[in-house]
Amino acid sequence: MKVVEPKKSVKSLKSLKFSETVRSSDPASSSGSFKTRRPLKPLKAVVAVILALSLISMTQDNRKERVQDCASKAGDGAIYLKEFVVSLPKAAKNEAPPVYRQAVILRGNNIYRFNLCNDKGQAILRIYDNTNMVVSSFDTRTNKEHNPINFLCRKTGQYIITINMKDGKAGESIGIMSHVTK
Amino acid sequence: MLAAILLLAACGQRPSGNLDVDMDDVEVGELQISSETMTEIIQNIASPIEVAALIQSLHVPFSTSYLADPEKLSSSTTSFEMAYSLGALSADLGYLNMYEKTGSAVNYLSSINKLADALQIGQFFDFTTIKRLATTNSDLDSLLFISMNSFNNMDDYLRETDRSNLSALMIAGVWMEGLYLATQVAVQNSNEDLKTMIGEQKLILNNLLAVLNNYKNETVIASYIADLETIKNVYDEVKITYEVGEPETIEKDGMLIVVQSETSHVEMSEELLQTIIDITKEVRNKHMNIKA
Repeated sequence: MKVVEPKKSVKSLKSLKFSETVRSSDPASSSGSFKTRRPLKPLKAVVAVILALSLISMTQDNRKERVQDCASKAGDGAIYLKEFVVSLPKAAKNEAPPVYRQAVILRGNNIYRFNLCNDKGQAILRIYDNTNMVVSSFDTRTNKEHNPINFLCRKTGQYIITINMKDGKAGESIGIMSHVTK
Repeated sequence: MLAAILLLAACGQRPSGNLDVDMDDVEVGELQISSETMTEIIQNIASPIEVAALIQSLHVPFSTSYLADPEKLSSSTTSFEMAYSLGALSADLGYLNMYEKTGSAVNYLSSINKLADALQIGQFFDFTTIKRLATTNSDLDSLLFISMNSFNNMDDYLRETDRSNLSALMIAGVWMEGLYLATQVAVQNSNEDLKTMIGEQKLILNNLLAVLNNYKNETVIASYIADLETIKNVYDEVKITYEVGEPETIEKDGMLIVVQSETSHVEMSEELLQTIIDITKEVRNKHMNIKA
């Protein structure tokens, strides 16, 4: 599915500011001055902006397609609610591995489904209520992964979704939270 | 050039909220969350889909009488009012989509599109695709996905561009319209699940007010807070009790289901429910330019 309109168009305008920053670090600008440097030709600048906008649009389209593809794998009766796009670095030596964390409201008497689509590594999704873990997509005792996994919530309130990579490895994953129709 | 592109692509990502958490905490499930830090980052306070999904699951007949009329919305409004209306109309759109009344959704789609453009978030509302899917009634799953995904992206972008106040009002609009839908359905249909859902909005209203209170110094938002406080005052009478229990797991059709055993119980008299219905209608109609 193609998205016609470019996304993040307002942010893309920042590319102009950034190119100025790059130029300021140029030896020509440090030895002389920024003002004396020959300005980028208008045509080149326009082409650069168009290229940058196209790439951003492609990146965003790609993200949306990946999310939609992952949402489509949630199974029957699942209605997409939210995605968690995660890119985590490898855990540094003697340090705790990085964890993606997001607070959400879940409603009692509803079934939520969580599925993960891993691009790199194996992601593990967990849900916590105030203090306790209530759901884990990976059972450490049996070494079994549950993907997707359903959660019958019976208490409306705040929950924390965490996603981390198995064994602290670097990884990329998309988590989808869906509502399951009864 | 390449560096600029990479930086811009990185700018396109949402703040992931990556936090270093002690691995022991992650494994054993003892993650302490400070309530003070929650209000800024909490998601899914109100969803355009969830209330509608519950109503539909109760097999309650569809009715347009519950919905706001986009034609009645004033065209000369502030960005605050537009954000609120966008949220409210998104909730109505969710209701129409859940009942597959997508042919009736065009007016709502057009109004949402106009509001999104005015708030400079129109690039996230894929009007052309959503309208095509709605009018051809061809692929409900895609329609639900793109509608919800567009809403999420608009909300995220408002936050990213330092307009969290508008995001908060948009969420308030979704919540208010969702509560109105639920309470109007409750007028016609006595159902314990629906009553419980309405009662549990007490908890969500508290979260919503906590978020809005970050912007209470802004006059317009303060007026929305004041109106929501009138609803909260009624909700203070609702009693919610909890029963502690360990989660249970069952496997069905090869899929694991975790059943939460810790449950909540709502105590709310019929009179109190009626008061909630009345105050909800009053506040909702006020902000949707509907006279009693």
